[in-house]
Formats: sequence, C-alpha cells, structure tokens
Amino acid sequence: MLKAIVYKEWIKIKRVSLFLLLIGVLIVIGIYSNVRHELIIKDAESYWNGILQQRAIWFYVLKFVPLIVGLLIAVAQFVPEIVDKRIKLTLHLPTNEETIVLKMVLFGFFCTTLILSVFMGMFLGMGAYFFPQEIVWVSFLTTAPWFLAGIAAYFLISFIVLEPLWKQRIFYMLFGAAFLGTFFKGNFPGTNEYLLWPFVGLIACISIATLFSIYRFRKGEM
Amino acid sequence: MLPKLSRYLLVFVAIFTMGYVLPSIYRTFFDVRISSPNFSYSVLNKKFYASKYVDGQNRFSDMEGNEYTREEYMDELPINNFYYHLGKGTLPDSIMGVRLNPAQLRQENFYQGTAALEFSMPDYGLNPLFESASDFGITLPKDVFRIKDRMEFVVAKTNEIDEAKSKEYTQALKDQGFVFPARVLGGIPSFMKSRDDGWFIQDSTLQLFHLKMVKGRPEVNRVNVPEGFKIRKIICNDHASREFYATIVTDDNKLYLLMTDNYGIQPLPIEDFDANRQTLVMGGNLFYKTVILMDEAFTKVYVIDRDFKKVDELKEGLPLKSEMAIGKVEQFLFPFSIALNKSTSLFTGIYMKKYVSWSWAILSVVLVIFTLVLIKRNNRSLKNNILDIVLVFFTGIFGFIAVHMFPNKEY
Amino acid sequence: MENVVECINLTHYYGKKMVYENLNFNIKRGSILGLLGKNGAGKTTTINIINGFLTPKSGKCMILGEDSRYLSSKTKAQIGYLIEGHVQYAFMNIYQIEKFYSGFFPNWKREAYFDLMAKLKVTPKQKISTMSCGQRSQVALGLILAQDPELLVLDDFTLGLDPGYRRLFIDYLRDYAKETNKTIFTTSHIIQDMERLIDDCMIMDYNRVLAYMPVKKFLNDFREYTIELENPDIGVALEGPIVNLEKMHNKLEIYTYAAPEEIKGYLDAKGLGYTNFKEVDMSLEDAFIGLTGKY
Repeated sequence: MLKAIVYKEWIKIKRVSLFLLLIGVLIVIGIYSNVRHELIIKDAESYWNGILQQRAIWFYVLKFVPLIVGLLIAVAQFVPEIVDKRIKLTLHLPTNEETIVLKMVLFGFFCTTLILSVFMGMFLGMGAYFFPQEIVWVSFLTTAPWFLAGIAAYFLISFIVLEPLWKQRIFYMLFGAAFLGTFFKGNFPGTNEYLLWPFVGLIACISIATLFSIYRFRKGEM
Repeated sequence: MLPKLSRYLLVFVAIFTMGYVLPSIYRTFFDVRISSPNFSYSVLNKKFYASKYVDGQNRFSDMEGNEYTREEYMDELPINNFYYHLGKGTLPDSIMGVRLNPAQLRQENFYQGTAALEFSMPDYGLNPLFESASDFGITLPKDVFRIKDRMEFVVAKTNEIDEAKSKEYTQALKDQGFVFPARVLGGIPSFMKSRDDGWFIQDSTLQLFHLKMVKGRPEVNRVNVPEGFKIRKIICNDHASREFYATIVTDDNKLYLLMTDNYGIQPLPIEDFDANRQTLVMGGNLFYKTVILMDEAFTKVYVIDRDFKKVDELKEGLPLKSEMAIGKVEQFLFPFSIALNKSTSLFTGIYMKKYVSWSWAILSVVLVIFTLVLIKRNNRSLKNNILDIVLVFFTGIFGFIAVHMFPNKEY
Repeated sequence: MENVVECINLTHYYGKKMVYENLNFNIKRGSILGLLGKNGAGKTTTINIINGFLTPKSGKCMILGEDSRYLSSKTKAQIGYLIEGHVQYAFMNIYQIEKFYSGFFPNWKREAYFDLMAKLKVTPKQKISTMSCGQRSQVALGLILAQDPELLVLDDFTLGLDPGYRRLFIDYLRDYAKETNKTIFTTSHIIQDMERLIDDCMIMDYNRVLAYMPVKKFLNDFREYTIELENPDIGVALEGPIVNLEKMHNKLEIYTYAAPEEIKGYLDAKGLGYTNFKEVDMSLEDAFIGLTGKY
C-alpha cells in the first residue's frame, strides 16, 4: 500500500522535483563559480577578510530557494488532489484516512528534505573546498533556517491547499506568511545558532496540520 | 484524536506567530524615540553637564537644571571640547596648574565604546596576525589563524595550513608555558588602525599571553594576572596615549586596564557593570577618565582620576517605555510579546517578554466572554472548549485570534 | 433479504438552509436504487453522507452494517464509488491508475478493468485528463469493476455522457450487477434511460421526497391525464388526488396516482366543465417531470 501511495505521489511531483533539483544544483554551482572568480580577481585574503571581519555573505541568492522548493512540491502534490475534490478518492481507499494522508505528507516531506539535503550537502561541500571549517560551519548556521523554512513551507502549503474553504485558506495564508517570515529574521552570519532547535520544534508542530484540513473536509466543510 | 491534536498544535504555532507579529506591528506604528543625554564632567567646575537632543536640537544643562547656550556649554567644558577651543583660539593656557599643550591634549584624548551585543555575537574564531613592525603600514596577512589544540595558520589562497608557520608559533607559545587551547582572544582584527599590538590570549589555565609577529617571527610575552582571573573579553585599543593595551572585562563583570607599562593589571573602581545588558563607554583626557554604563533604565557615569581613584559619579534614570502611554497600551493589549532579536545580543532566539502589569487581564476577560458568546451562539458544548477558553485568557488577543482561526467545530 | 444500506432519519442543513428532514430509505442486497432529483435537490449530499464525507445534523446511515461516519477499511473496500463527473486521478494514464489502485485491493480483478479498457481507443501513455468524457466514464467504471465491491455508489454518472455512452454504461452496469448480485445506489438528474437500470426510485425535490417505490410500480401507478377546460379562466387547485398540474391556456395536464374513473369523479364533483379527457403514456422521464414540475 505504501508502494502504491509513493507511486502516485511520485507521478505528481516527479517533474517539479527533478526541475527544482536541477535549478538548485545550478544555483549552488553558480555561487561557488562566483566565489572562485572573486578569489582570483581579488586577493584571497581580502575576500576572506570581508567574510571574517565585515561579515559578508556570499550566498544570499540561496535565501529563498528552499522556500520555493517546499512551496512548489506541496502545490504539485496537493493541488491535483483538490481539483474536482479528488481527495474524496484518496479518502475512500480502504485504509485509515489519517494514515494515508500522513503517508502522502511523509513522502512529500521526504522528497523535499532529500532535495534540500542535496543543496545543503553541495553548498557545504563546495564551501569546504574554498574556506576553512569555521566559515563553512557559520555558513551552515546562517543557511539552516532558510532550509528549515523550506520544510515548514512544505507542511504549511500542504495544509493550506487541503483546507476546504477559501475564506479559511486566506487567513491561513496570512498566518503562514507571518510564520515563515520568522525564519528569515537573522541577517548576521551565524546568528541563528540557538534558534535552530526551536524552529525544528515549531516545524514538528505543523507537520500534522494536514490532518486538521482532512478532518474538516470529511466532516463536510466544502 | 489526532485531528484535535493537530488543531492544538496549529493554535500553539499561531499564538507564537501572533505573539511575535502583533506587538511588532504595534511598535512599528506607535514607537517613540528615547534619546539618552550625553554627560560630561567639567575639569573646571568639578561637576556634570548634560547635552540632550530634544525636538531636533541640542539642549545643554547642568544637573541643577540650569540651561546653557552652546557657547556657554563649550566654555564650561574646555578639555572635553578642546578641538572647538583650538579652532576658535579660546583654549585656556592652563587648568588646575597644568599647562595645556594641544599636542598633549590630542594624545591623551580617547573614546571607546562596547555594546552589550559585542559580548554575545557569533564568532568565526579565525583572525589575522598582522606584522607589528611593518615598514609600510599595516597590510592584511596572507593567512588567518585559529587556536585550538595548537596555533594554525590557514592560507587564504590555497585554503591550506601553513605547517611551518603553525609549528613555529605553536612552539613559541609553548616555550612561554602556554597550555592549549585558548580561552579568550583579544586584538584588533582590522587593518584600519594606527598600529598593531598583536593579540592577547588567555590559555586554558587562565594564564595571559601577549603574542605579536615581529619581522615575521613570533614574539610571546607572559602577562602576570591575579589568581583565578577569568577573562570574558579583552577590548584592545590603538589610542594615541599608549597608556593601556586593553580594557579587560572578567566573568564577574569587573573592569581592568591592561597597562602598557610592564603589563600591569589595573582594576577600575566600578562595581555595578553588567556586560550582558549595558553598553560600556570610556573616554579619557589629560585629567580624567570617564566610564559610562548605559542601559534602558539609566545612565551611570564614573569619573576617575589619573591614579584610578573615583572622584565623582552620576546616575540618571531614563524615561521607561513601560510607564509611557505606548507601553501602558501595549501591556493592556498583549499579555506578553515575543521577539527574535534583542538589542543586547547578535544571536536570535525566542525572547519572551512577560509584562509585570496585569492590565492585559481586562482584555482577556472581555475576549473570554466574547468567546463564550460565540460558543453559545453556535450551539457548541462548553466542555469541548475549556482548553480554548483557558488559552484565550492566558494568551489574550493572540489566543483569541488563534482559536477562532482554527475553528473547534463539533460535527 | 438483508439491507446493504439503511438510512435512518437523516436530517441535514447547510447553515439555515434545510436539505431534508427525517429521510429514511433502505437498499436491499442485489437491488438498484436510483435517487432522482433536480440539481441541488440533495443528491450529492446523500452520497457524501453515505461515504462518510459529511456528518449529517442528525440521523445516521448504516452501510454493510457500519455507521457511515466511521467506515472501516474492510467496508470501504466493499464500496465502489464513482464521483460526479467521473472524477479520477486524471494526471495518470490507464496503466498507472490501475497499478495504483491494485495496491489497495487484495481481490483486485485486473482482467475486468483491462477488458473494458481494450474497447477504448486510447494510446497507452495518454493521460486520463486528455480523454473524452465517455472514455473517462469507462475508466472510472473499469476501476470499480476491478475493485469488485458489494455496493456501488454512483454520483450522477450520466453527467456529460452522450447518448451512446450513457446506454453503454447503463447496460453494462445492469448486466454486471444482476449477474453478480451487486447492490447499486445511484443518483441522477438526467432521467432518460434510467428505467433500464434501476429497480427502485426515490424522487426528491428541494427538501422532501416526492416518491419512493419500485420503478415499475411508479410507472404503473403514476398517470397523466389531459383535459381541455371549457372555461380557461378557472383555476384548479393542487388537492385531493391531484399530485401535480401543468396548465397551458385551456389545456390541463393532471398528474396523479388515481385511476381514470376516480379522477373523472373528482373533476365532476368539483363542477369543472371539460372535454377531451385522455390518458397519456409516460416514460420515466415524463413521469419525473410530471412529478417534480418543469421549473
């Protein structure tokens, strides 16, 4: 049964996932092509000095990429479910309604996380080629909330898309935008060291939010 | 069961978000500026003067409330404003029997400030070691150093460790008795400075060392410090007077000067400094040093003579936002507020501010009644909504919006 | 014979608007019940309640012995559900969708599905979204046949089908149901051809049931008479045996369960002068319109 769920979910998000993966990989390569170029045309030590003393950030372009990944995957996965209320088909399958929705969300979460992990891995790996571990570590701390925002966006958008009523959906979009905004408040390198676990906790809180939408749908809010 | 849980988790996240967003929207619209006055101590009259920015212009006064014009104020404080007097040719020849020499005044004059957030900020742990005896001014070295279980130099161009240099410097430190790793480092990592004095490094056994690079070679000196001298921060300077290398703040918030003369450790007679909250400002001239501690509630000024004895002090309270209309309304509207940034740290976090006043409870009660009416009107059972009502009471407007945004319908 | 579906005192409101109050009906195993009504009469509401997508304000539905609000997986496997408009996972092709569904049903009848698909002129990679309405209806039907459920719940399956496909769908379904003793609950607002399919009919108007009986009995007992009034200005009231009326000038269509003599007697007793009393043959569609009115 899980196989069948994965099969259908993958059909929905295959294209967008592969596309986003490609775009993200290109962006990371772009970031470090630029760093390499800078290191060549400037003195390497003054480029480093910019990072260490002026706290320059060389990867701003990455900022909203994870958010877009989470958002698009959620849209690709759940919009086809609400078109013509197809979610009824899913909920009618001979299995527990909550379990099947959680499995769908789990698979989308897995794909989002996998794509983001590839970006993060590449970003840190290429970073380690040009910079010492201290700089790589701080760049991890700086970007980690952005990546977490991508996962939060996935859960939130899934929940919002599955919400049956438009009126409610608009409130939830406002709430979602405000909530996601908190992931982008730290603009100083390494500033978010102590906020990562609280963010993880908040994401855990919204991870089963889709159940609320499904519950409302099943009780007749259409 | 799970859908109910998911709702409460959403309500929780919404309360968190509202607790952050609503107060910040409120402050964006209604915040007021509180400018703290500048206090100066007059060598002439042995008393404090204040200059304050009010309604777009500077106002000058003394502590008795007498107002002064800008010219009068400048005349009362000739040493503090000697540049002004030099320009106008009105500098007195001598004060307190000391002949005033412009070059000397210039040399002895200094100013430095350290905000609380400099004690709480992310740090890369990589710093440049400049050539201290450079013939061509200060230039960036090709590498940066870290100190862990040894001292390592990482070359920027290759991102590789310069083994020879690392060994040489590690050995030089060890020869002086340095025990790795380092506890605290102090230095000026910028090349925008008048000279380089290298780095002061406290090792894991609380010994303090002075490391410089002289003609490419390491030069390490030991600094004798009192027993159990736990340094929190070493604030180095390049003041022209070369009187002291650095201001040292210890873990127990005591202030010391690390003197240039024989590496003496000179305690400052200041008892109530709190590095976590206060901005530390120091100024000095030919006659006195002033140490200013500032936070939201008050400004405290100490005047210290050249023998490091306290000669005067001043404590002035600031208007508190919590006692102004904006603060009172805020405490009525919100039972608490959440911030992700704060002025005393560069680390983000969930900084929750709980107000002392209970005025928010009035609004909470109103919102609880309103919620009860809604429950009654929609024929919902009270029993299923008890948690919602409790949430509305304790989280006020945040909880009210949250529980209604995620309706607790019964089917 | 046992009841596969039992709906007891169903009452539902959307806000203040009543859909129906105290609706009761049963479907016996092996029988086919058609819920006929105009758009907005509450057909889909009933389907949603049966499938557990809607909790009624009061009353309940028992499906294969289980409360529809808490259907077990086992019972859901025994309910074939066709959504209004043959909605399916249109982003898949016919092979993908079969592969998906087969993972959920241990007794999946693959051949039943592909037998039906063989008749469709679609390319193997063609997505369902690009198919015609008729083709999509066949895919949806094929999936239900492969699922091989006890109860088929079909929401307005004739919607959008051209006459040929409608006939095909109905005949295929009827043969299948009768051969395998399946129970069917279907709704429709298009009545044409429905008498070929259903055993019992329930005709619903806004917030009430107008008729609930075997379709043969309904076709037999429900009659239309036409008369020509001598005085076209005389109004005839909806009372006594008269269930519905349509009046055009002096021509009057009378819908009733009464025999000709009875209705004549009634008209005479009312003192209405009329000529040209005729009984009209009606199809189910005519009877439906006669009962529910044209508006």
